[in-house]
Amino acid sequence: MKKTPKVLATAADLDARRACINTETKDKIFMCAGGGCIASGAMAVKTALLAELKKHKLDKTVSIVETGCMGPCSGGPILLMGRDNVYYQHVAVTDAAEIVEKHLLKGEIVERLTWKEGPKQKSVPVQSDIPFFKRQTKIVLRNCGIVDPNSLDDTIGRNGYQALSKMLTSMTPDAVIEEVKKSGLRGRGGAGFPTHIKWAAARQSPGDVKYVLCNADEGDPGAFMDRSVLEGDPHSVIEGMLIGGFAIGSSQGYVYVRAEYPLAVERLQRAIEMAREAGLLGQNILGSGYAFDLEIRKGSGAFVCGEETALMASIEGRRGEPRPRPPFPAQKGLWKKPTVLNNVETFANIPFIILNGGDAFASYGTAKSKGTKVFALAGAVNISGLVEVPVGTPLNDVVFDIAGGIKDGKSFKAAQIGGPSGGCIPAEYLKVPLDYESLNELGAIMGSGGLIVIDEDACMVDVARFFVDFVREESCGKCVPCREGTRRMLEILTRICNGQGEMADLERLSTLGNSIKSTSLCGLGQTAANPVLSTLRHFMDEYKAHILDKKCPAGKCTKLVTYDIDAEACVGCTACARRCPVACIAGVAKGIHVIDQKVCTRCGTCYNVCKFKAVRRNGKTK
Amino acid sequence: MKITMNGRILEVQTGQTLLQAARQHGIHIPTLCYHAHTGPAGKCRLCLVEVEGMRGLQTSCTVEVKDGLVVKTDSDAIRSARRLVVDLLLASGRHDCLACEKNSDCELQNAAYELGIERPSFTVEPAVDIDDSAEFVTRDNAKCIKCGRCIAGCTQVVCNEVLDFGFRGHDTKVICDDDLPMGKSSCVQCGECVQLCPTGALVDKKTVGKGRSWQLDKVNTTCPYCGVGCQITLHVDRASNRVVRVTGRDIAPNNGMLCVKGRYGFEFHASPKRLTHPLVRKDGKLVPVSWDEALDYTAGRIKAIVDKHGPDVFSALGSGRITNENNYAVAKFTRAVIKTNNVDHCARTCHAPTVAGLAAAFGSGAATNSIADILEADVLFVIGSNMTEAHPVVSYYVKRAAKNGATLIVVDPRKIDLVRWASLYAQQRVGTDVVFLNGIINEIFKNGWQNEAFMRANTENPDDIREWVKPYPVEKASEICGVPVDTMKTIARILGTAKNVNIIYCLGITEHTCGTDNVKTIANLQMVLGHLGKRGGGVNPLRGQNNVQGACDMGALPNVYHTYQPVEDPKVAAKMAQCWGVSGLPIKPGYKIPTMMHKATTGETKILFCVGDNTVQTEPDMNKTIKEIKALEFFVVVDIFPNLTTEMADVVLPDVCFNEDDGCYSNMERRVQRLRKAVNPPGQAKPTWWIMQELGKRMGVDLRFTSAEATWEDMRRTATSMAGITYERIEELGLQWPCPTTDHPGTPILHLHGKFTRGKGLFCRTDNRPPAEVPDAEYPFMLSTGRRLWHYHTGTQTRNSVGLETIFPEELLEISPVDAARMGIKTHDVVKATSRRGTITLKAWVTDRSPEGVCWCAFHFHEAHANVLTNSAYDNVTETPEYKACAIKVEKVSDGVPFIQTVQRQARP
Repeated sequence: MKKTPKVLATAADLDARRACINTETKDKIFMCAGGGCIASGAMAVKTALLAELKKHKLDKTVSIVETGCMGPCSGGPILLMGRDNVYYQHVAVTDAAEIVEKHLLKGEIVERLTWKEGPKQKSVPVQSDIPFFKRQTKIVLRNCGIVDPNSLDDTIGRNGYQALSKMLTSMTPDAVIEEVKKSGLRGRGGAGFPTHIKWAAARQSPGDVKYVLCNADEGDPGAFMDRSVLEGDPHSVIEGMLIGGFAIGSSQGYVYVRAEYPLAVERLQRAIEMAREAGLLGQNILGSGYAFDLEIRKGSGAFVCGEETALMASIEGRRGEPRPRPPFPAQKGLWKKPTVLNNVETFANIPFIILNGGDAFASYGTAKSKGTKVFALAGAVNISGLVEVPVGTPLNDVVFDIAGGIKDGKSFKAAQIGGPSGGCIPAEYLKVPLDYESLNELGAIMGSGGLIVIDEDACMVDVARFFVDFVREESCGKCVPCREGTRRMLEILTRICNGQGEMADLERLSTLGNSIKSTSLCGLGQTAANPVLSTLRHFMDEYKAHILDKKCPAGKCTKLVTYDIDAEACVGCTACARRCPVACIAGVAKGIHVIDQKVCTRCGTCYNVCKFKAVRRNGKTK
Repeated sequence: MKITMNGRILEVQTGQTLLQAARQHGIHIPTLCYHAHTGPAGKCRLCLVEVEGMRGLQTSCTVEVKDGLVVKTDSDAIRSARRLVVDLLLASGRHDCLACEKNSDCELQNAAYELGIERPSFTVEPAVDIDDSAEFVTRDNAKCIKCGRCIAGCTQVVCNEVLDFGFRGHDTKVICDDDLPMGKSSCVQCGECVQLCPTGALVDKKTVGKGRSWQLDKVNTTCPYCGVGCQITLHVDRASNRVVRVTGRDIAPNNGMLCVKGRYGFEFHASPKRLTHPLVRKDGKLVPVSWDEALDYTAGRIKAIVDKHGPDVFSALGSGRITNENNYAVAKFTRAVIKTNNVDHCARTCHAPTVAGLAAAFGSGAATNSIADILEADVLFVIGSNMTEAHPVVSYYVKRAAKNGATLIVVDPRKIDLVRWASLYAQQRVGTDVVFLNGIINEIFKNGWQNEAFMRANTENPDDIREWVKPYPVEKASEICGVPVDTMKTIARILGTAKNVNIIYCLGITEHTCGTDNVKTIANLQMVLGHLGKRGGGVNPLRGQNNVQGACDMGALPNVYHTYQPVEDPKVAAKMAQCWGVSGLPIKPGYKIPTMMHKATTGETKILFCVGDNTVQTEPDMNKTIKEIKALEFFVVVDIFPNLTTEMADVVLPDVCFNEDDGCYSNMERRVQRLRKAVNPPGQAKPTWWIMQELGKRMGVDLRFTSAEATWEDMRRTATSMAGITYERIEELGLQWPCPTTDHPGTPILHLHGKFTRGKGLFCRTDNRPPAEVPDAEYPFMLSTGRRLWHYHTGTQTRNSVGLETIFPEELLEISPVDAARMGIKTHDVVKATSRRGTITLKAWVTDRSPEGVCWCAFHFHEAHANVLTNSAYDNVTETPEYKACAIKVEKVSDGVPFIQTVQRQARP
């Protein structure tokens, strides 16, 4: 076997190192070590597995690879058996022995832990047969769940840094930008601005010092795409930034990542160090003369710092507040130098585009939106997690075919797309293709890819209120419409939720919302009203019910809900009385129960636990 | 380039914003967060406009013009956006105009009026949040619209860096330091924030309830404090004959900025303690008499004594505090009526070495450049100037320049406040400036950093200086001056390789026995560097008093007439004699202050005619001064307040103060600026020119002083470099001399292109001379003295104005933490400071401003006065006393009230 070059001084060294990497998977168990699976106990499972392997003297031959997120987070902890691609979910510590003994030693599948599909819960053991995986197209997540993010060789083994090598040996900066242009890649942070235009502008801006920034300040509630990429495949982001730096003529990059993502920070930091040690960051990269280095800057939890000018202010050590544009960052960005800022997902796409050509990327997607998009699925779906589909895939496919539909057999009410800046899409638009234009038409936005599925139990006025409360809390306070207007919107929404709304409030909300949109300084304010405006548009009935009937149809708005017990249906099982958190239900066993309305907090527990449809909400039983 | 705005085609300039272009062409766009001084912020969203081809509404304050832009500043969409903004702001706080101090002067109110909003359409925030803790500024957060102008003003304009936004979103508020009450914060109460605030969120506390803006007369005039010469507007309540507010004017030199004294130290003019009637000593007591009696008596006594002993027994003191006209009047009286040149003024105690040193080197003894030039230097070299306290407005420029990227080098024995903004700080030992500077020059030559071309072309003796500094290699200089070798080398490199160095200095340089040498060494350094005669460079002494430049210009000096015409030149004397209509003008230069005072004890000075000079308190070694004054035969004092000096006078004549007569002052950049009468003087107080005219008349000479302007015109007839300055020409903006003719535009920069006033620049040899008195075993501390931010000179103005004394009520002896710890002294403990000349008892301030072995105090408080201790040894050229160095001992008397320092503030403990 040839000697593996430690420092990659040339492109040939990179090839030589790749040639030495064993990509054979048969003796490997891939374990999802994404944030979600770690939270559900993956590391304890690993310890248990290691003990079992040792016990059966397999520890020298079988290794456990900690990977990034595999996708179906709600199924964690997750194992993928390298030998036969069998996929196990909900693995517990107590399952370790069975997996080793049955799967590894006897070659039998542990049916109990396999994927179950459809109403009949049919077992689908092999990952590539599982619809959740089958229907996805992975470009951004091409390495996520497969490589060990802490191993540079794992990445190199899967063509990591090959795009860099190709670029440095055969491309000019203009050619790189041309390739990105051909790909049609648009910024994945939310606005969907064509990446090549930003890059070309920064390239053309005069100046010796330029910066490449990666926005990893993912702040939307329910969004975890960027975290997962950084945790699962940090080298793709580094490589993307290296390519961006080459294209615009920069030698310094910063990744601005939230401090609330400690695992992402840790893995990215380690990846940067590994890349630096290997000579992939620093001076004279792969012998090309190109110099580029990266540093991490941690944000401190301000949502607004995801806005590019606020992000730069924060890196500079100033108060995280946006500033008006122009000048755009491509002209005057970080420390007033030309700067390109893209988000994690955008950069993760770049190596694919350079390695396979812009056309390969553009073969996915729609006429105006190319490539794939990663969505973080959350809310009332059966499988929540991370998915990547070609841009333009209908919402319906994602919610039902991939995520397995709505939990507990309930009905789909809306999909909240694009986080606090996004909007709610009702059931009649389930066929909408997930691309920038179509979503905009419905008053939502693609955003960074947060997708929260809302079922019948949710009150849309309450949902709007939740998001407005979020942006009010996160408004930096710099411009008047956002600082003051979000607070006024919240006041009005709260009033409606409390049954004190009037019809004029709807007009007020809509005027205020549209004005905030047109007058705010930055994207946060300009989109802050979207959840309100889109729910006003699609769920006017619910607003009216709150105002005119003083009722919350979903029963969420506690001030508008009453619970009582139908004396005829009550069998006196005492279930409600026992579960009532404020002990306001009186009644003896086999006797009729009564709710004390003065004490009741309208939490709905009694309604949910009653098996005899005796507890009524607003006079109606379940 | 051209843009189209509302259908009009406008000619605009590159770099202008749409807002600036609109304003230039008289198109109104409402704004709140924009201010010409603080620049665009893009926060309030009131200045939104429509720009063809740009998505959505644009803030006109941030979008720059581009050729061919088509802009609309009014439309339904724009109006509705603006309405929303104002509507939301009105709901954001307690914007009730009825009793608001800013009613009629409020930009939010104007915007609401313009948009026709009578009351907010949203629920109004109930907040009440008033910070009343500061002496001069009241903050009402419920009226704050968070436009950030105060913060931009505090951090980018005056660079005091106290205010900032705290918290986030709707909770955002303007905070002082780490959200301290303003009165407990490091705020120095300059009031810039008040001047910039568009609403009633920040108001001048002492103005509240004193009259609506429209009820007050606005009188433009010049600040009566330091030599910066800030242009101010007095807001006058005619009915009560009082100034109730002061604001800065948006013109040179201060561009709206002021300091705490200039903005808030104005009530002294209406103090009941003012001198209101002429007083004559009868039976040992000063009693009020009529003007006629006082003048007859004074003229009679002077005449009798001068007739008997000759004119040279008469000495007069003009003042850096009084107008040009009044100084000229004193000088002319002394020369034309008495026929002696014994006239001097307090420049003797401060910048006489500047006048002598710079005149020797360059041919002109004044600052070479304008204050605004500070912003154009890439290196600022500040030595011996505690400008944040003594010349706050200059310090704003210096700090701003430093923040904008200029390299600021501060050299001072004390770790003064300005050090916080400095890139480099050198702490030289007291009195070692020549050694330090020669070391720097030596290092510059050693590395070939000198500007050889400049030296060859523009100086007389370029080879001499190289030789003269040879004995001062940095290693040796460092041993004497105490500045580390590396620091000296770095400073030399920065100075030697800079594009543009502005050297600024003050009394730390001049008030030494080697003061003139210090100044000459600074001149040497700048001639080696060659940054003279151009914008952004120069040698710029900061003149201490409002009109100390003017007092020199007006010839209140023993060796020159007004505009520096030598008394020894017979041609000059002949010209004066002819124009003044007198004969026998004296040719011999007169006495300088120390000499005239000393000669009182030998009987050679018998009369001292003292105008606006609290001599007892301002001269060093107070006991000696008192002895000298007691030895006089006749002592006349013209002043506005009774003080230690008036108490000793035979005649006290009540003068008018800065806002009670017309006139002009010359500021430190040679700019002659108008003073205007705003209120009537108290009682029978009269201007000095009138007093001199009346005395002249009684002694047989008509001095032709019929008004302030007539006095000025009389001066102009025989002036040279100021002959072109008329009241009419300086009606709006002052002119900088030289300005020899009425069509001359004035001279912002002296020695343009290295063409010195004296022809070629002259290097002068200077060598190390330690202070006259240095610490020893008995008196182990070096005492240095100076001025505090909150007070001015002998306190007659600041101690008679409301609030300054509350902030800084008594003098403190600054002592280093090391010495204090060793002696068990804590801040506010009572200590006794003793020199060979006297003792004062005062409280201590333990501060790292003082290096080990050095103490410091000011001369504002007669109760504990630095000049009881100071040494009367003086500079042999100019007789300027060594206020900056004398030896003292310090003893603890008693414990003070325990004291906790809340913030690291420099201007007070």
